[in-house]
Amino acid sequence: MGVAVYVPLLAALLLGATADPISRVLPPATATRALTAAAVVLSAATSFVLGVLAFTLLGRLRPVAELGRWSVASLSALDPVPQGVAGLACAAVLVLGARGLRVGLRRCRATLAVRALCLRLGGEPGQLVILDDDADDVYALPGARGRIVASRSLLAALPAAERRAVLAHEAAHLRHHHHRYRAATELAVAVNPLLRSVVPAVRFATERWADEEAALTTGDRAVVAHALARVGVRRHSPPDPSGGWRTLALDVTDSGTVARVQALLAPPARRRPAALLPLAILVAITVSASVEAQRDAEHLFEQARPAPPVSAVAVASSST
Amino acid sequence: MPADGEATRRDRGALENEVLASLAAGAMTPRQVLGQLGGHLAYTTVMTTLARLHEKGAVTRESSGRTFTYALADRSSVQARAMRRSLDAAPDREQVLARFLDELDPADVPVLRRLLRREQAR
Repeated sequence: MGVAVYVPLLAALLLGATADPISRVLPPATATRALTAAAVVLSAATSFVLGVLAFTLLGRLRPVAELGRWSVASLSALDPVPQGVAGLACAAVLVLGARGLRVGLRRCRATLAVRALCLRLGGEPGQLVILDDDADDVYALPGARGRIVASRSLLAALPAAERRAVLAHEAAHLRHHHHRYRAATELAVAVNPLLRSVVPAVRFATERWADEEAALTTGDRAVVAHALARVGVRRHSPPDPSGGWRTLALDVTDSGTVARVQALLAPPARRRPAALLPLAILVAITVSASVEAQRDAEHLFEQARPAPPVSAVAVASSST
Repeated sequence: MPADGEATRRDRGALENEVLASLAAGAMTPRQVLGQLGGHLAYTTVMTTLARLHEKGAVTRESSGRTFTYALADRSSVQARAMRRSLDAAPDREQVLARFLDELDPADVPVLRRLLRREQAR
């Protein structure tokens, strides 16, 4: 088997190393979509090639070989992948599969907790719910029937324009379903830890996206910057170790507040479609390498099959 | 056009949230809310938004002279309203009430008794 099978792993390493700068260079909505899509494709591709590598070892087990009708001896003789590598791939498939399952289940549980909380809070989807808490806090509870939640003290402390900016920011989170991008990248990273840095990068990009929407609503980028700074200083949200609804809440200031304030005070970023090119090339190379790896594997197992008797070939060809 | 309808609905939601948030500082007349929110709104818009919020039970209002003073509904009145609404929707009120009492947390019974006594004394 050629080197194609290792290319997706390399690509994932590369995306992991560049996700953070990408999230800062591209316009936030583009960065969010591109990073999420790339992470999903790359994690699918790495899962696939890990599966292929693992199968070169599994294929040597007698029951599997009998089922596939290839010879264990000739498969071992062709020796496509070092046994150690194939063994590692087997272990990785098991561990990463379990991780993906765990992250997915945790996500489902948190989603149910958010839904229950929304019901308890009352009101309509997208509506602001004001809590009489002492702690200053504001966040969006995601989902089609999500809510915006804010403490009375924080709202009362903000000037009207900044309050508007904060509400517009949270409404943008809900309107553009930012939690879906976060869920997709979290799952992708669960099955491919090489992509780890994509999660904070997408988190940052979605926050910037909501900031820019708020700037459009208020018509003043500086107002959004001031609101962010003020909320960042005042906000106090208790951590939620239980993995409940809080893990899904979209907070105003939970990612890179300083960088976001700077971005808002700078002139708006120009669109640079060319910056997408490296990412597109990376994804294209990964996909074609995965296809190549699949062909390689098919060829390998084909070779390991004993040649069919001539009569069988004659029957097969005459019947077509 | 459906896109337009979507946009208006979204704007209305945003406006309701803005008006609601401005009441966080305390009870206000529509005029005061308008002053808080600044020049981008018309007085009648604020009036209708407050009326809609009142209809939804998100704010309470008290008449003061020729106008109303609006305040955030506290959470208990929002929740009480939800309970009443579901009771109103029931075909057989008495049966629902009876079932509700049946399944009441025992700790809530003395509270309910005290509240009923207070209500009778009035």
